Amino acid sequence: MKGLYVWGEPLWVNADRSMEKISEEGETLARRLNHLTAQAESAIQDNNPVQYFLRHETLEPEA
Amino acid sequence: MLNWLKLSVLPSLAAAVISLLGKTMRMGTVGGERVDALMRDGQPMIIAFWHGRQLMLPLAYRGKSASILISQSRDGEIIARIMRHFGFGAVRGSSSRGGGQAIRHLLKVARQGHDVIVTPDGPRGPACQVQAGVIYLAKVTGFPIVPLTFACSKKKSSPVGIDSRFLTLA
Repeated sequence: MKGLYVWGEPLWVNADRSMEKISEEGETLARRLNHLTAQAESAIQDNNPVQYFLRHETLEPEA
Repeated sequence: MLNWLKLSVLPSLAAAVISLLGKTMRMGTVGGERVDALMRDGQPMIIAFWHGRQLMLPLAYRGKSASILISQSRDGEIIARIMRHFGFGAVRGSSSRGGGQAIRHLLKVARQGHDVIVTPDGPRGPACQVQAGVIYLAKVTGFPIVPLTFACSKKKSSPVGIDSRFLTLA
């Protein structure tokens, strides 16, 4: 049985960010987590998930 | 008696099962260098993963000290006790109960330089939607949020909690 951990790109939240804009950062984090998870689920089917992930890694979709 | 079993025996058993699964699985990691770089710089972080991916994540942590945000429910108490086996501290609260107090406690933990671990959609969901608390925490502390996920080749999901909690079965 194989397992794959994937750490994504860190997301920094500017201290000046208004509370109104915080939801946008939340959407970015959700997109990032969903994108990583979808890619990890594809990669885990391969015999070498790490190599598969690195070969097929794509940037997260824009909002 | 049942409560005693749940709170005393179940956490140890669950921690042993998670450790055993970790030892018997062929594990791979992608992106670990991102976390290692932050740690080399002495930068504490907020680690975030979806509630439905939490089972094997205690084994992924690469740092020295972290506290996890866990709900005040009875399930939360069991999870907190399981996490203690892996060396994690627990801060109890969620968006639905004890959230304000939990955020204040997390800020205190963060200011002491410890990492913070959260499920941004948990525990009541909606699944895979980020609650504002984690972003607020990042804004106030200046810590980066590092997304983390896990996948495994064999799995079953149980209809527990806000979504199908991720279970790994041989």
